[in-house]
Amino acid sequence: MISPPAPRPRRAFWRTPGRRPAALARLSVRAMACRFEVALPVERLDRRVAVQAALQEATRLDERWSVFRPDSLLAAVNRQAHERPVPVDAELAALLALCTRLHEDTGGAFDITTTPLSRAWRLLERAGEVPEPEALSQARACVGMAHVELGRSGDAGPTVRFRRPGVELNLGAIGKGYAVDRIAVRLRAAGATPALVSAAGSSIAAAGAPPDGWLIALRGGPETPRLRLRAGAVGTTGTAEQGFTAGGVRYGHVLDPRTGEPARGMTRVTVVADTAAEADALSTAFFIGGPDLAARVIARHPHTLAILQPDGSAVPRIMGDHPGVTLEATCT
Amino acid sequence: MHLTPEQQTVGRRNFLKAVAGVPALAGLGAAMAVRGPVRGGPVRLGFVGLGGEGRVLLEQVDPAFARVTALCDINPAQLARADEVLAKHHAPPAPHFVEYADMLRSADVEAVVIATPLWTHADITTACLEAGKHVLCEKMMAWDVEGCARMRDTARRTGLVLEIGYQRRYNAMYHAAYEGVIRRGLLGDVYLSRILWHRNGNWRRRGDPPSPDYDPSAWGYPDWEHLLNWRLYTRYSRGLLAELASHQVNIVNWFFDAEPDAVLGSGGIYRHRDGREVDDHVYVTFEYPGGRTAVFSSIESNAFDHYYEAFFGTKGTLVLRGESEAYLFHEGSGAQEALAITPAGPGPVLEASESRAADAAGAGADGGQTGSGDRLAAYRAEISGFCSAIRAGTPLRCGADAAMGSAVACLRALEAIERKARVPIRAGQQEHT
Repeated sequence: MISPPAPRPRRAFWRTPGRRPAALARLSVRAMACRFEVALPVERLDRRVAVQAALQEATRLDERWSVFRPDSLLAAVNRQAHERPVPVDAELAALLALCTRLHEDTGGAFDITTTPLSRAWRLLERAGEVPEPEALSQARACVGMAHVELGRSGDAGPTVRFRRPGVELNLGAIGKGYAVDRIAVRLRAAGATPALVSAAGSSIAAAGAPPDGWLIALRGGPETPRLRLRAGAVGTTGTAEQGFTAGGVRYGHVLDPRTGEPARGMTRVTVVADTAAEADALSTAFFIGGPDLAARVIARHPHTLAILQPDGSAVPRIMGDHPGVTLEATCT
Repeated sequence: MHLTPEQQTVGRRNFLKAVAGVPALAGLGAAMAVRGPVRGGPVRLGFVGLGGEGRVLLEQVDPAFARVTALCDINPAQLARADEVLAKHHAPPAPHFVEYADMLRSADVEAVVIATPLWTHADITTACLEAGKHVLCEKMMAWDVEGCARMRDTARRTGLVLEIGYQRRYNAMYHAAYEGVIRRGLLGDVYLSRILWHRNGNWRRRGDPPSPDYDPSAWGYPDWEHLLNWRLYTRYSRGLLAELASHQVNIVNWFFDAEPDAVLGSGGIYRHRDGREVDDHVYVTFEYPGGRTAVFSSIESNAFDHYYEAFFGTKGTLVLRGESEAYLFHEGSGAQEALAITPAGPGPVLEASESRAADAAGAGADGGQTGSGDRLAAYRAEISGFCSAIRAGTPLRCGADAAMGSAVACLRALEAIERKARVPIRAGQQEHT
């Protein structure tokens, strides 16, 4: 005689115990022209207010640093800093110092002064157009961290000054990562962990992790691995989504500040680093500088893993290592 | 209402999260909680009016609940099409009648489904009730308030079942929305409902008469065109308000648990000046008790918004679109904040990707498409529910009183448009009670 199966206790689906959370709550907010999301196990929804407060970091930073808002701090810097040192708060000063260091570490591939180039290529309005050589050379003259002077002025605290007119700062290649870091810090402080913070998928940070980590898919082919993230952050740069075609040539939206031309050779680069700001910046730098630059930077920056997807190749190139992540084959 | 794919995903998940655990409604889109077969066997049904709507209902007859024993229509072509429907469902053929009075006299029917032009509803319904037959009458209830009152009073006096065919009342999605969202107060205080039905056509039908010499004048239609396009002529129809708005006002009355006090309106024949008599654009504001307002529009010049019922509250927004999609949005600390719950399967939590232009979504591993109501299932449940009310006394979803509430509101709205005045609704209703 076959005994009937034991009745299974009825549980709300998110209460089912196990190594992996049975359900995730995803709270999100729109800022910086994308969606910031915090995913955490549903049973941590008791921290919902803290999560919402943490997400407000993205809104706050967007208001302060967006160059598309005329009333933002960064817009004021861009308007005035070629005339006189403009006072900035400690947070922006620290981030600009980090940008300067990353600029040096990457041989100039990471650069937050490329806005004149983007304007010349008409990428700001997402139109896309090959510039006249003269316009391009004028734009190039305004690009480079050498034109940016970070200082202090007594009581006013840190300041920024541009050494010439036409210089503009734009935190597009690091701001989302920085905001993701800030959200993760606040989540940890509020005990709202484990949580996975992301901005449009291009910047991701773990604020704690489930026992088997956060499984993160990467775009690409069957050879592209998946990441199991327990600590650290992930940044991705690519041009599959943004760019334009002119004269039969496809141009991506990532410009090489060293040449003034759209970067070539890579389809997509993902970097795992300790912070999302670094991962964000380095993914852009490696996208521009390729495996040679990645090798040089990784040699001096342990805790950096890069997955480079060269144009026309199905096999990604994996360089470096990060203790917070393991790679898994996509096909098992 | 235009919703981005992201909003749809979030709104759908929010709705499902909200209604999860609402008793008997866990399986959205599943049949309503009507059980068959019922004691006493299937109800013997006669159908009066077998045009498009009548045949939709005929298609959805569940043999566990009902058996069709008579078909009645003044148009022989409709009867032939109804025969085909029965044959397709392997149902036995049913005798034909031209006059409903003959059907009531000689056919073996316990109950009648009426799907005829609006102006005939009151006469046919009361005749059926007087003949001892239960009635499921298509909406709107009747052409005028007097007709509605006559139907309601006859049903009360005879003690027979009279149900008005508002299929949303039998749509599981609407019940889930009412029980899971409205009654639980998830929207907070709701002051505004927006209901609309926008189309970009002319509502005029084209078709050949059943025979070259077909003459419907004996039934009050001077020619074939007037019968075919009865919706466009005031003698037979009350236009967009009766055919479209009354569905949606019926839902607002249900969700607000109230009927409007007064109505303001405007409208006219603005686009299709083709001899029709009913307005092709109507805009109506219904005032409900407690400072609540429902704004309705129906136009025949643009279909972008299609049709939906939306409820805007201090804590959230509920959108019920196209009778098949439900979305819930929370008013967060910022209006942009959203919460979604997704099952965490073995797959990735997130896809890392390059940033996208403008509307970067950063979507997580999607929980996939989730349930939606089923329009046809609602018709099926409507007929089965009607039969269940006859056999087992189960409560009606939209009996005479509920149907009259929305019918009177729409009829007063027409008055408001004609008189260009604010027209009280309740006072007018009392004149006839």
